[in-house]
Parts: sequence; structure tokens; C-alpha cells
Amino acid sequence: MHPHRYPLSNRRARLGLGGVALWLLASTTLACGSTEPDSSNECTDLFKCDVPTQPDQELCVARRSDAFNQNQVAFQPDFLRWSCADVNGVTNSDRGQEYCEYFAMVQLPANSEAEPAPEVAILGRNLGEDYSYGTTEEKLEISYEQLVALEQDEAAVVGQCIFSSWNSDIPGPIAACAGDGANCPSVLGVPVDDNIYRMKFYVNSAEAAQLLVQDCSVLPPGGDLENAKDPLNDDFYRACMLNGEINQTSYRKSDTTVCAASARMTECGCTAVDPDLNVGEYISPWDRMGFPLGTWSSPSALPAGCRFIDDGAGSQTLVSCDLSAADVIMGAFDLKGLCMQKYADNIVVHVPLPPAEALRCDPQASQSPYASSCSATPWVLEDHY
Amino acid sequence: MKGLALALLLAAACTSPNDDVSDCSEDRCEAAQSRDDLLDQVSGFGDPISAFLRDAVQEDGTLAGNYEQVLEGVGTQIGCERNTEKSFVVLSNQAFHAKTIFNRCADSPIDASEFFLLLPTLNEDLDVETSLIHMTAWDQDAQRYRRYATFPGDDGTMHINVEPSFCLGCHAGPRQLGTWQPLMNEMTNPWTQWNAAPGFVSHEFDDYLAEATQGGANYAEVSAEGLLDSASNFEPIIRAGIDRVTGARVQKRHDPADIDEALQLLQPLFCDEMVNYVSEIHGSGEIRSSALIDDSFRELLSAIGEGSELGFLSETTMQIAPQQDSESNLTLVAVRGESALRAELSLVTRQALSPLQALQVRSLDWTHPVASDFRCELFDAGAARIRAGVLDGEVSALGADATNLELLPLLLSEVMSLELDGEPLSLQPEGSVYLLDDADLAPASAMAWKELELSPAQLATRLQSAIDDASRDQLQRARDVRACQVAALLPTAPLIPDLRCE
Repeated sequence: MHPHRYPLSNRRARLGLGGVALWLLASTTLACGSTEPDSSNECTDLFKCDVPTQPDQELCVARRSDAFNQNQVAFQPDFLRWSCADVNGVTNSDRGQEYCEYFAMVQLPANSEAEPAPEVAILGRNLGEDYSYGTTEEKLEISYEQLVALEQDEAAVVGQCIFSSWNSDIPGPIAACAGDGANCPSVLGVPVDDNIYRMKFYVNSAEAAQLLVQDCSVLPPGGDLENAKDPLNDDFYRACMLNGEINQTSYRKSDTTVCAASARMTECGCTAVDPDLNVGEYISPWDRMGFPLGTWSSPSALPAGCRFIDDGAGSQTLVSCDLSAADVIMGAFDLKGLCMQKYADNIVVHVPLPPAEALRCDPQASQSPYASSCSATPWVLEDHY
Repeated sequence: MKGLALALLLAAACTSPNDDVSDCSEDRCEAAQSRDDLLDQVSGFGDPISAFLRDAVQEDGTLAGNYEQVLEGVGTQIGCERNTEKSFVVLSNQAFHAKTIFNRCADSPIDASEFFLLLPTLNEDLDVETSLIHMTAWDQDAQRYRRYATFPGDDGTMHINVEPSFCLGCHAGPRQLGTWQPLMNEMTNPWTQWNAAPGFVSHEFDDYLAEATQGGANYAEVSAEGLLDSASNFEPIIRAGIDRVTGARVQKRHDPADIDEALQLLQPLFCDEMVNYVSEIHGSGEIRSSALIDDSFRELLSAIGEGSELGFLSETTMQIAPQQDSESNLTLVAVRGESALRAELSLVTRQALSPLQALQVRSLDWTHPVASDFRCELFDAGAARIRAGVLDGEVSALGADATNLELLPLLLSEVMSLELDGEPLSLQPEGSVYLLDDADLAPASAMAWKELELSPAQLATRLQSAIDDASRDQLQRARDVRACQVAALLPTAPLIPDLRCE
């Protein structure tokens, strides 16, 4: 890795040509959470709609608290991790910012015996590269007859929360759907395809993750070494502020965690033993669907009520979790939000790291004043406070 | 005094038999005396425990074996094999004695909520007692949980109680609902007095679990690796169980109009039927916002469509300053019980009540989300007037075919009224709420009440401000006050080591 300061690329701005055109359109006629320009909407900043707006200093303190939460420590020897849950302040059509997007699917009963059951409702699914494309309808309309039918057995599973970490720039079909598609999985009868189940936001892409690692593989601005209370002397905070400067995404758990590991590796003079190894591409390879999902107790397990959707390649990037009739009745006005509250905290994105022996760290060769505190595995940041 | 007397009665009902010298403790004198006696007692029951008992009960009305045989037998009835079984351990308010709960089909919370088995006591060696069982299972036809208890006999068998009344001392809540409902004091991270491993770091569990228990052979068995699971996975099972009870409860809105039934539907809006507790996550300053603002405000305001730009409407947690060395971790803050919350929201989502009607109740004495004498006395006073006939004319006018659904707004309107200076005052202003911060500030005149009137949008803004301004000291004081109030009310209140109540 070649440390350099403030590279031009960043996870926020890389929208691609179509995205750039969209950004130009948005900056003049933006609607927040809709596919049409909405002059009545107060949100006029493509990147600031429905996301936290506190200063980076505050956001970094909050993200640091998340990363070192005893129950959910982000930095592990073999991987980085964070939950699918969006942080406080990320709302509405901005939801799905942590390399994990989610939506609900519900099969409502028929309105009467004479009628067929309605099509499966897909609620709150992101529709495009960013929030401005909006989502599918978030509110579920339930008729009186359907309510009566649902109440006959409120414990019945009638819907699913779908969590996807399938990168938005990795094309389908999934392995199980290749060929004649005989083994193609489905949820409530809806086959798995990249239109519905793959993430949509550009920021949730293999490329964006690679760029994030690259962007953060620099020496972040340090603090006053004479002042032990200067927060910039903290490894995580320092990198978080760097990310805030580069990407304006210090509100995200994902960006701040990846940036912290990358920056710390740079401070500790870590390089790949194999000069051809690109750490960014190792972490976010083109030949993997996305970051594997798991839970806190295990990278290969899930919370109760959830299961992996078998994509035929064991990617662990697609998860479905049960919604009961009671859930659907109670959460009908925002089932996407219910999915987040009920499951997202315990569905955990895992970012596999290169094995320790693939990296060589030489703190003495580093120009960073923080190199003296480097451990043998510097990407496992330690909580010194 | 009434509350204290009730608490003492309920405390006796929930007392471990190890602490009670009566031969008839925990309804032991009501145990089945023979197989025929037991079969008679479970006649018509449709739950899987009764099905197991019909097969397994011996001629003398007892069961052979211990909890393992019961788990296996009931597991067979519900189609859940042993490899789907998980155990969960919590420290009780009886000297932090460990209680162990088992579920089968634990990987599916909805299925798992069909059956709970609890080993509630420790033996004289402080190891888990394996023949004294409390258990419950869902009867789909009756739409309720059926409850059972066993206790060890002198000959190694287990005597059986069918639907013992002592269970309701804890599980029917302080208002004695008449039906058993699942109970988990702490339903959110970090589950302070629960085992939270694997996956999470246990909070106070490791500090207070008795060494003798940890070293016990039975405890080793019930907490074996691969069997013992985290409270994080028990929480959704309890939620699913609460949903079963709630669903059955609100179905009664379709029943023929009955004053008492309809009042029971409204009661959870006003009075505590159960209490839950939330804690700060390991000194981080993150705590559930329900510690300050009742959770249902979020749901109700969202349903109205107000305040969508405000953070607290989409956030279940709030952030106070992280714990400093000199400060205590903020643990076990009493909040309104999940079962009451779900009952209230069930009525709203089924359009039995409007979101505004529920908000109007929540807004009264709102800084006391739990243990509000103001709200509960408002309900009791209104209920007394209604039972005395104040609405007889209006009820009759509904017609003979009226249901509880039609009664609800009528009864709510009567409950939500005060008499001031001989004049009635409705606490349901049109399109708005009266935001009463504290019962002690309740105005004495209708004019003064008017000054408390806020639109839902204004209410949302006020609540967001309260969250933004919240401090650790404020919540710590509230924690202590509520803990003492609830300890006097509920036999299930957790032990809080540093709590001192006057």
C-alpha cells in the first residue's frame, strides 16, 4: 500500500457516469425518497437527506462507542464486523447504509374465498443507486377481511424480512439459479434474482469497499502528543475523522470501521508479503457476492427465526427472517422499520481480513508518531480508553 | 397500604417452596391424586403438555423421572427434537438464585413460544432442582396458555398440579388478569441479570451467580455447551409468546358487548399489567429511549404521520454521556411492560382505537411511563362510575347486537374525564392532546388544562427535546424512584443491589 494524503476518490462521490448525471440533476431538482423531483421536499442535498448531520466529532464518538461495545466489538483477528442496523438518524429511503440492505415481503390472504390471494407485497426495497430513487411502497394496506383472516392464527408466518449484502455491482444470477434454474431458491414464491434481492445503493458495492480501503490507507492527521486527552490520539477516532474528511460518512459503522483498520495498518507500516496482493481487492473481491452475514456469536450462524437463502455458493449474503401475522398487523405502516428493529441488530456483516502471515508490518519504518504502539495485529484496534 | 398488602400476598404466591414450611405451598394440596383425577382435570385441554400427561401419568397421578423426561415427552408432542432444545438462565430476585428455562424448536421463536419449561429453584446444595418444574403450553383452541407445576414426591416421582393458582401471582401481573402471560424482566440488550453468552458479554450475571451453583452437577447439565443460549435468543421467544396472548386478548373486541371485558381491553393503556427493565449497554451511554419516553409514543406518532423528521421516531435507543469512573452503570430502569404496549398497539392497528386516542392517554403524566398513579386511578375511577351505571343509557342505545368494539370509545370517553368544580372536563381535546408532565402539576381548572393542549406535531417536538436534554443523573434518579415503586407493586421486581427504598 502506498500512503498518500487525501486521495481524490471517495466512497461518497464515486457514482459512475450515470450517477454523476444523476447527481447533477439532483442538485438542481432533488426529491428526497421519490423518483420524481418534489419541490415541496426540503431535502436538497443528495448526500445529506435522512442521515445524521451532527459534526464529525460527535459522530466519531458515537461510532467509537459502537465499535468497542463489549457486546459487539468490531475488530476481530480474522474479520471486521458491524450489524446491519442503520445508525440513529438514518431514516426513510436512506436506510441500508452498512453494506446491508433490507426489506419485507408479505403474502396476505385473499379478501374472500372467491378471490385468489394477492401477489406477494415487497415493501421498502431500495429502487436505485441512492435514496433519491426511493423505495417500493413501505406501507402495507390490509383489508378488513384480510385482518380477520390473519387474526385466525397470529403465530402463522406470513412474511419474511430479507437482508442482503449482495454487492450492487456483482451481477447475477446466483450459482443456484444458473443453467436451467431448477435449484433456484425463492422466498414466498419469488425467485431470487438480482433485480429484487441484490443491493441497489452504489455505496454498497465491491468497488466502493475497495476504494474505501485505498482511501484510508494513508496516515491520518494526528493529535497533540503532549495532550493525552486529545481525542485524535485515539486510533479509531483519528481514522474516523479522516473518513469524515474524505467521504463525509463518519456516521456509518461500516466506513469508520474499515477506515480505522486500513489507516492503522498504514500507521504500522503494514504491506502485503506478496506484492501482487491488493488488500482492498482481497477484502472486497470481484469473485465474491458480498460480505458474509452472520451473528455476534458466530460468523456462520444467524439469530433465531432467520436462515440463509441458499445461493448455491455458500456466500451467506442473503438472509430471510420470519414475520408472523401479528408482526404484519402491528407493523403494517412500516414493515421495513420493523425488520430493522426486530432483526437487524443481530445480523452482522463480516469483512474477512487477509491472514496475518499475508501481511508484514514494520512500525519502525513508518512515519507515524503512533507507530510505537502498534501491536502484532494492528488492524485489531484496542480500546485504550 | 393496599398496594403493600397486595404485594405481600403476591410475594407469598411467588415464594420458592424452599422458603415455605406449609405442606400446601404452591397448591401442593391440589395435586392430582390419581390418573383418573388428572385426566379429569385436563379434560378438554388442547395443549401439548396435557397430551403428554395423558400418555405419561401413572396410576397414582404422578410422573416418573424429572425435567428431562418431560422435555422429551412434550417435545415429541410438538414435533421438536432434542437437538432443537436450548436453555436460558436468569438470576431471580430470590437471592439471585439461578432459574433455568427450556424451549424446544428454539431456532424458530414462534414455534418455541408454544412451550416453556422452567426449573425455578435450587436445592439445599444450591444446585438446580430438577424435579420441581413450572411449565406452560399454548392451547390453540382455547387461545390461552395452560400452566402446570410438578414437585418431587418422597418416592422420586413428580406430583402434578394442573393450572395452579400460584402462577398467576407473578404471571397475571399486579392487576391479576386471570390469564398466564410470558414474563421476561429484561427484554433488551444487555439483559443485565441474564446469561448473555454466547455472542454477548453477560453484564451482572457472572458477578452474582453463586459459586455453589456454578459448580453443581445439575447446573453443568442445564448449561452445557451447545445447550445454553443467550438471552438475546430468548427475547424473541418471549415476544412471540406475548403476541399469542395479545392476539387472543384483542379478539374479544368482537365479543358481545360486556362492560367488564371492554374495560379489560382498555386497562393496559392506563395501568401497569407487567413491568420491564432496560439498562445502559456496558457503560457506553446507549440505553433504550423507553427509559425516558414510552415506546408507544414512537409508534403512535408514526401512525399519525407526525414528526417523521425527528430522530426519536425511528430510533429505539438514546445516547447519554458515557459512564465515567465515578459514575454507576445505569441498570434496570423500569419501563412499561411489553405486554401492555403490544395490547395498546394491537387496538390501534386493528382500528379499535385511533392513534390519537392512545396518545391522549400516554400524554398524561408522561414523565412517568410506568407506575403512574394518575393514569391508573383515572381508569379505576372511570371504571367504577361505569359499573355503577353512568353509561347505561348509552350502552343500551347501542343495541342488542353491539360488540365490545362499539363499547370501547364510549368507555374510553368516560374514563378520560375529570370533574373540576362540578363540571366535567374531557381529557380528549379534539385533534390534540393535553401534555401533563407530572401528576403533581395537574391543573385544578379547565382553563389551566387548556394551556396544556398540544398538537401531535408539537408533542413530537417536545418529546424529541426531552430526549436531547436527557442526562445520566436524571435517568439515575428516575431509576431509583421507579424501582422502589415497582418493588412494592410486583413480586417479580428484580434485585437491585445498590437500591435503597424508604
